[in-house]
Amino acid sequence: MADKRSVFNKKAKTYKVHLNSSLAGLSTLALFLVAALVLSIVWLFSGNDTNKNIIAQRPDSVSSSISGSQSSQPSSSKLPAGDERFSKPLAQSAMRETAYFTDAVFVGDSITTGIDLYSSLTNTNVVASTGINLETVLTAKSVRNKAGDKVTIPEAVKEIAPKKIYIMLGTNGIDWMSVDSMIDQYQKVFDTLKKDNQEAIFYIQSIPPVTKQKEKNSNGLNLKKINEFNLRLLKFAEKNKAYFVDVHSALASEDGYLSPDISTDGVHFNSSVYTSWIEYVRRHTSRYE
Amino acid sequence: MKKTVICALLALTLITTAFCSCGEKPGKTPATADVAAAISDSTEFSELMPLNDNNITRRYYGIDLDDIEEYEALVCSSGALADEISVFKMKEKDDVEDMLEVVRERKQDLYDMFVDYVPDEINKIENAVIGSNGNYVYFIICSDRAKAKAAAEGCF
Repeated sequence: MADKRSVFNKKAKTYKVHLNSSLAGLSTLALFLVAALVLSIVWLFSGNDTNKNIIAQRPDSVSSSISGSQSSQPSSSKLPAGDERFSKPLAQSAMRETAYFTDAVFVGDSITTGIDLYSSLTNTNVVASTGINLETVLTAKSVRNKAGDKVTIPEAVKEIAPKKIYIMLGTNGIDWMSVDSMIDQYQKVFDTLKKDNQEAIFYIQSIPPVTKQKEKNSNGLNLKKINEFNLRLLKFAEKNKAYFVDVHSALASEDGYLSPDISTDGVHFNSSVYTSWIEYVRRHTSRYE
Repeated sequence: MKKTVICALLALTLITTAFCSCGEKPGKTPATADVAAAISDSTEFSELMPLNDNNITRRYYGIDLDDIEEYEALVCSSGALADEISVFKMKEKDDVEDMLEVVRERKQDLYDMFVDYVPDEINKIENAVIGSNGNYVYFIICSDRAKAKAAAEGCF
């Protein structure tokens, strides 16, 4: 008579072997699934695709979630690899001392002239002219140099020999120029400033919103186009290895427009806004230079 | 003899008085801030913002602050309009003409800025009030030239 126990043991052993194999397989599968889950979570919460996140939150804007968002720059001052510095708007950092702006120049139109009037940066340089636009900035002798001669904005900037150049251009002209031609012109302006100021780093500032009323009364001056231009400016900044300062986000209200409480004509601001603007600029500077 | 002396004294008095009246009559010397305030109150202006030593030199190119005893300069706060009130009191009367030239340059700069940007402002700029009184020079851009000019002149 066969040894039932022996048969049982054999079966048990077989079962045990099968079970062990199965368990091992299951363990492996489980490990694989856990690893896949962890990687998915890491990918989802990474900041690698900032633009898509921003667009998802406010469809037509570069702004909103950028300011105050998690830092996209490393906490150390070590230079990141590649062009990561320029591929996204500057994240918030510690407030820069005003001395940082002594060798800076702010280039722009009538909006920028207000920095000279209102801001706390009394030590900085403002080379800006009311009415200047991307088509005229290279050719119009719209400012005066130290000698009192009328020169173009790039010529005046060259005389200053700044180490940082902040640019805000585009509000004048956005109602009649295409975004493509604006970017083309911006490239020409940038190339000229770059050629004349090779030691300078560049900060490209997004252009501010307008009020809802201004948009309603204008032909072509609208938030959609402003946001489109600003998104293109971000790409422009990356391509040209310039920092992008999303001033637009600092000035836009919840609905994306400029609040009528801070603008009498829908485009220009009162003095309190300049305080906010400059504070934003001081909190969004490069950590590396 | 007595009559001769009296006549001589009278003649002397008359001559002295005549010489005194050839010179400038002593005028008012208002504070430039008061002149600017009177102009500002005389007619409608956009919201104005005062310039300081730091930024006035960027607008009034060629200005030498050492030649100026005091000034009050107010420009449109938004930069969107050309409205302006600037009153300067020079230390020396000899510098008034140079300051007037600086002011004329300023007017031309504003014209060049606004001619394509906000053409509606050009009429105001072209009709700017540029005047002087004694050591004072004033420059006004606004919609109602006559009222502003009268207010400025009424200060002296």
